[in-house]
This record gives sequence, C-alpha cells and structure tokens, in this order.
Amino acid sequence: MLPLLGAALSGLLAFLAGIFEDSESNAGSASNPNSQVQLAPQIGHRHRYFNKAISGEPPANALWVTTAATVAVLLSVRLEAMGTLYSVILSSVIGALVSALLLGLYGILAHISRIASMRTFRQPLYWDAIFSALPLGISFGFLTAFSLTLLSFTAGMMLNNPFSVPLIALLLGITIGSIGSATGDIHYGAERLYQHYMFGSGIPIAKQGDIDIKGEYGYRNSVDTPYFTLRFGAMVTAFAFGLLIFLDSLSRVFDFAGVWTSVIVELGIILIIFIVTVRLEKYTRDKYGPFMR
Amino acid sequence: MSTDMKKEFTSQELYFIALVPGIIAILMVKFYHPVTPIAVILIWPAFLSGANAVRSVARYGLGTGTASIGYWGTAVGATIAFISQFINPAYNFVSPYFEILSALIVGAVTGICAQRIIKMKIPVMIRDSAILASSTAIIAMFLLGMLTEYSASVTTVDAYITYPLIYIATTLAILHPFNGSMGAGENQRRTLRLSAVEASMTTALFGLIALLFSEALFFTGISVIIVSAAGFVIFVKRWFSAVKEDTYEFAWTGYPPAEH
Repeated sequence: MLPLLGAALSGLLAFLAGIFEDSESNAGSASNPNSQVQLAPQIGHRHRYFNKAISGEPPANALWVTTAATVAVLLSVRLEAMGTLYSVILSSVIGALVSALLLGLYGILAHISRIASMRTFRQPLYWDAIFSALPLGISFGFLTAFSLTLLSFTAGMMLNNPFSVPLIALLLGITIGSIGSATGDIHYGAERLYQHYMFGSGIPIAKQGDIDIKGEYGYRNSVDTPYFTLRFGAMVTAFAFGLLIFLDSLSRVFDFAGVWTSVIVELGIILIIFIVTVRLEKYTRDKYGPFMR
Repeated sequence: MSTDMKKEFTSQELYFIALVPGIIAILMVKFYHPVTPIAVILIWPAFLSGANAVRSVARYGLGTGTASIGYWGTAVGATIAFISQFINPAYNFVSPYFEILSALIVGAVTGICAQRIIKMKIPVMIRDSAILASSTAIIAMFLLGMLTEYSASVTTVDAYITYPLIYIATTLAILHPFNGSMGAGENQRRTLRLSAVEASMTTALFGLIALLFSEALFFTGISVIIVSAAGFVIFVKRWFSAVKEDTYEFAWTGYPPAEH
C-alpha cells in the first residue's frame, strides 16, 4: 500500500513542480527563448524583458533543487525530535528558501551583467524590468525546489530508491529542466515571442531576434509571460514530467520478479511509449504533411 | 566609456594564481582545520581561473555550449576529487597533488578528444580543458576538506551526501560568470569580478552546509559565512563599478527611446 501511495504522491508533486518550473523559467526568459531575448537589441529591438541568463534550465534547476534537498536532509536530522513528517516538511521549506535566495542572487547578477554587455546596441538597464519580474521568478523557484525536495524524500523514504536524497534531487532537477526546456519553451518561444509569425512556420536564422516586444498595452515585460504560458505551456510541462515520474514510480509498486521487477516494468513502459509516439508522429505527418505557406 | 582592458590575464597566469594559493588552502585545512575561514580566501582564485578557462573556450562562438563546457570541466575535476576517497590512507601524503595533477592530465585528454575526434577547432581547447578540470579539482578538494578534515575519524566518504551539491554548485559558479556576461561588450575584467562575487556566494553556501553537517563544524561554518559575506560585499561593489562604466544607460522605468 505504501509504494502505491508513494507513486500517487510522486505523480502529484511532479505535476505541481512542472507547472512551477516552466513558469519560473518563463518569468526570466531562461533557456531557449533567452537566446532570442539576447539577440533582440542586436537587430534594433530594445526590450524590457528580464534576461535571466543563469545557464540552461537543466543545470540551473539542478542547483536549486540539490541545494534545497541537501540543506533539508542535513536539517531534518537536527529536527528529528519533531517527528519524521514535520522535520521533513519544515526542513524542506527552509531548504527551498535557501535555494530561492540563491536563485534571486544569480538572477540579478545575470540580468545586470548581460545588459551591461549590450552597450554597443544602446540597450538601457531598466530597474523595474528586473525588480517586478524577480519576485515572481523567486516564488516559482521556491515552489519548484520545495515540490522536488518533497518528491526526493518520497522517492527515498516511500519508494525505497537506493540513492541519497540530494542525488535524487540532482537527477530530478536536471530532468525537469530538460522537460521544461524541450516542452514548455515552445509555448513561450514560438507562440509568444514570435506570435507575429504564423505558428508552425519554424524560426529560421533570418528571423532570430525579431521578437515581439510590445504587449496588449505598452511594452511587454516578463510578468506578462507566465500569465500567457500558465494556460498551456506550464500544463504540458507538468503533464510530461508528472507522467514520467508517475510511470517510473509504478515500477516500484509491483514485485513479481524480485530485483528485476522494476527493470522489466520500465522496459515495458518504454516500449509502449515508443510505439505510441511513432504511431502518433506517423499519423500527424500523413494527415497534415509538411508546413505550407 | 568602455572598460575594455588593454591587457588581459592569460589562462596560465590565472591558473598559477589559483594553483599555489589553492594547494596552500587545502593543506591549511588538512593540517590545521581551525584556519578554514582564512583558507577560504585562498580558494577564490581557483573560481576565477575556472571561469576564465570557460570564457577562453566559449569565446570561440560556443553560445549555448558555454554551460556544457562548465559541466564537462567540473565533471572531470570534481569526479577526480571524489575518487580520492579510494586512496589508501597509507598513501595520504600524495593528496592533493595527485588529484590536481590527474585532473590536469584527464582534462587535457578530454580536450584532445574534443579537438581530434569531435573536431571542435578551438585552438585553446586542450590547454583550457586541462586548466578548467584542475581548477575545479582544487575547489572540490577544498570543499571536501572543509567538511571532513576536522576529525581523523571522519573521511570524505562520510560527506558523500554533499557530493551532488559540490558538483553542481561548482559547475554554476564556473560557467555562469561568462554566460551571465555574454554579449558584444563582455570583457575579462567584469567577468572575473562577477566570478569573484559568485565564488564568495558559493563558499558562503558551503559555510551553511558545514554548519548543518556536524556540530563540531558550528564555528567553522559561521566564520566561513562571515568571511564569505564580507568578500561578497567587497566584490559586488567592485563588479558594480565595472557595470556602471559598461552599461549604456540606467533608468528606473520607461520605454526604449527609439522604439517609442
């Protein structure tokens, strides 16, 4: 019963973390769209986006989550007298606060230093562009780190994952960053920054940096972005990451072949996903064909 | 006025500045652990050397590959520092020289692979891969020593729970200074000052980890946090003075003039 509960809880926490992570990266124009925001001043589009160039999403999220989990593990030992559940929750909150502080510092340093390097293209540094978006990004970063720290504890304590909690957190951080970058960014990059181009037309090199810098009213800022991406991009990221973690957790629920059970279940899941995605892509290409102008 | 420097530090100069104080810092922690807060200051140049190696390689147009170079170099350096736990205690005297030299060699080999097999065509690849791996090995060795050398009964294996954080925190501190300053106006002075800021941030984080790791490290943790915080304030002031000289214009709010 406990592994099944652990699998359900893991799926829920992963789904929530997916929403928060995608929104955090979009509130700072991180990852792939960051390249477009970076290029914009070079072709004359001076903007008011938060250029949170920390690194790609995988290593950045790995740092936030590993920091939170390491602090939480060490602190939970000190708070053991409170009981396991309370000590884990309280130490995860404090760990996520430390990682949120780190995210804020890296975010400020990155934005200011990147804008300083745009002197040639006359890009001004707007303080309100960073300080209005930063608290939003930090809040989403805190929630991501908190969710994934709890998920790491769940994997370690309820699903008997053999790795240490900080190592699970590192792997989860890299995974969620990769999924957020691969799945979520399309809905910020292709749908939002390039919404003046037809969706599905791709972004050839000639269009790179020609981003939409004006919003519904005035100039667009990085607070507007999660408002847009929360409707679909964040949900798709959450679905992808939540499903991945839930299916992975299911492999620890069954026991019909000893230690090889999870290997057999994982292989079965991979095979099913492979067949479904190949058939889906074939169906889509046959039905819609290549992009036509 | 731009702050473009007439003369830049070379990778070799910065590596030498990192290597000597770095080895001294590791030995200080190893043989007399109470001086850790002073040794922390000596480890900061290793961050500058690593960040400069990333800058040196990434300036050949790597773009998003900047982060990859950071992982790659730290993966070599930190992994070699971590495997030092398998050294027989009877041969403990070879540490940290063995690890630093090994990182230098393995870093160079990965650089040769990048040049000869992947054909990256970056002339400084071999040299800077070696420097990057060795600089990160120095940092990882120091952080492990800070957390474990306070007692003979504690070994680096006891700190395995901090390995993931040592790896990823060092990676970000090494790759971010150049990645965060990327652009036509990037210059070594501002990038290295940003690296110093992030070096002090990282050691402050490990001061907190030390504080939580063992009750015996309470005062070490507190003093490392205080020294790192003082360094952070000084370095932020130095970095921001470079930012003020380099930035086109500061404004609290407004619209870009030519667009509006």
